[in-house]
Amino acid sequence: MKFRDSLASALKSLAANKLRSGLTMLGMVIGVAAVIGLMSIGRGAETMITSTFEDLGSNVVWVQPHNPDAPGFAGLSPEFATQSLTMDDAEALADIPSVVAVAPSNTNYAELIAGNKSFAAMIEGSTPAVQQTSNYTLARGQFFTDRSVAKRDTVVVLGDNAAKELFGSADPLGERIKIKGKRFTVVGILESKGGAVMGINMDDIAIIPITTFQTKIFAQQTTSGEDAVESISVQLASSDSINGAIEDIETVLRKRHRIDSDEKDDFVIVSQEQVSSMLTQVTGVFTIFLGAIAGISLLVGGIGIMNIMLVSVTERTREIGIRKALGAKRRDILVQFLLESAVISLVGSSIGIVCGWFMSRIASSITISGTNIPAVVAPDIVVLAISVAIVIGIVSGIYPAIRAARLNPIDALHYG
Amino acid sequence: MSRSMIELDKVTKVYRMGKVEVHALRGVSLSVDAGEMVSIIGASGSGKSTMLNVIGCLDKPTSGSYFFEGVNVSQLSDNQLAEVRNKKIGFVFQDFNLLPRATALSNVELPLIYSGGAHNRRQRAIDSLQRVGLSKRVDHKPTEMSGGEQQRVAIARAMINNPPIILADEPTGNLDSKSSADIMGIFHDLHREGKTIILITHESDIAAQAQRIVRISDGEIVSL
Ligand SMILES: Nc1ncnc2c1ncn2[C@@H]1O[C@H](COP(=O)(O)OP(=O)(O)OP(=O)(O)O)[C@@H](O)[C@H]1O
Ligand SMILES: [Mg+2]
Repeated sequence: MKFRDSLASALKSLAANKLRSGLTMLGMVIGVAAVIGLMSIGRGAETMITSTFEDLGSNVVWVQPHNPDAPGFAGLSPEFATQSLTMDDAEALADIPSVVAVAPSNTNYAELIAGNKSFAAMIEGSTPAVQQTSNYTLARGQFFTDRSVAKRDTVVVLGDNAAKELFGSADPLGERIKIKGKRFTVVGILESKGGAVMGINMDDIAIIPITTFQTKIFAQQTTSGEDAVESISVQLASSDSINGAIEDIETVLRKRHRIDSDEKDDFVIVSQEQVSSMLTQVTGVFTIFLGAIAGISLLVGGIGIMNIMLVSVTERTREIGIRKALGAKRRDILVQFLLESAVISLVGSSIGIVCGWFMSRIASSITISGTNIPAVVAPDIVVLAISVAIVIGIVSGIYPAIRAARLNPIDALHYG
Repeated sequence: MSRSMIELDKVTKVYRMGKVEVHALRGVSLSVDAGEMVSIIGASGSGKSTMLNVIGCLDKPTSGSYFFEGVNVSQLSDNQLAEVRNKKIGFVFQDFNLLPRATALSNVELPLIYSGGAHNRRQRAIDSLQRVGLSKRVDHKPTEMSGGEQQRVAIARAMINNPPIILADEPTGNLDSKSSADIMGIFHDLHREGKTIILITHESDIAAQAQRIVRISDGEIVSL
């Protein structure tokens, strides 16, 4: 029997059972679409998280207060944390040779009010060095100076979105806004960062001198009565110096905080690499998890094909008998049934690819708090999905096909 | 030693259904020469169809041997048997055995698909249907045809590959006397062309049209 005739036979019998073929195909479509869609969304989430962290500034480590008696990460939470860091600590860290910039930073949420408009923003108290450690670029105006920090000036640099929300198209430079009842002068506007870190949109920000933050907006003291610093960002000359610098920072702070050699630190040092590798690990697990769910649906689709093929062999035993009685060889029957399942899985997975692609396009177009997941249908995912689909199609077709081909013609004819 | 085209030697066929054994054939010996027209008669359940299935290489004997053109069929491989069924034998089944979802044309074409390579398949199928007087039913499906028409499609299919042997299991069983006569006319034509014809029938006047009548009773040939 010629291949063309086998294919024609297979297509004819698929067409003769449109509903059955369609439903079987649907199993394959859903499986492949799920694999491609979910895995590309997972990949997109990974890219998004790692790229926003790279936005934060490179070669940066963060020093934060940590309650040495609290278990694990609980020591970082406000309920457990004891405020242990001060402006003087930050200044001391600047003397470490491999350090190029140090920016102490306190953050909290407050309403910005300009005329009759108001906007809830993240208020960050810091020093001009934060531009370097956090990769802030000015669009207009200027950043406040170290002098403003020393004098506790009420000046503010607005994030792109905060400025737009409060002033629309008008020029905010030199305008006054109110934060917690205090008047601030807008001195600069940041360029849009267009991303979010852990749900915080970096364009919804208002930066003020840390001293002003500590004394006039959100007062917080260390146990010894000094103004507290919540976090110190330390930028290093190169990524090679990170490990050495972490040791240096620890030494300096332990000495300043008079911590005995047998006592634990009252702070923690977290590097950007640690955070992003932790997040990549989390999102990697997330992707694998999504892939596993998708894989299961693909498997279910495959079992569906197998099931239908088995039922169809049983249902068509008489047909097989007729074909064999008229001279069909085992191979002819085998090829026909294999082709039927191959066509189902091939057409099904092609439709599945298109559906998966649409799924990832839709996911990419959804914006959550200024961020969207850049889901991309990567070729390796497509190759993976298709090869799994084809293997499933062939495996699920081969067993019923062999069973069909082995039947004795007269037994098949007398079946049912 | 020269053999007949078809030679059954003490062929038995036993069906086992659980503990019960049905002896459908109890040592049948029969030879049919090329070009003969033979009819097989016997009561219902006497083993006529079983014997014809063995002759048509659709079924294998439980014991005894069957020589087809001098070759012991039990020594043929699965593929060789398929080849014999495709090229040497045209089988008209008692219950037609047409593909229900395929048109008359596709049904008649089927043996040609499995013999490979026939380029004028469609035309040959149409010719074959014309020969049985069904040129107007080419695109009808079996469900859209009468019993007699289905019977004729089955005959058209049996002769499309121009096999030397035609085996027909009660080809006039479902037909009125007019249609029966038409179909018997076709078999006589085929016989005149030199084909070997073996047909099963219940009707003595049909049986009498053959050169030879084989009577079978309870799995045994009682008269040749
Ligand atoms: N597949 C089978 N399994 C069990 N018994 C069978 C099978 N096929 C046939 N038989 C039995 O073998 C015997 C002969 O059957 P066969 O079909 O050859 O009869 P027949 O002479 O063709 O009858 P009819 O004229 O009714 O067609 C019957 O008793 C039948 O019940
Ligand atoms: Mg019978």
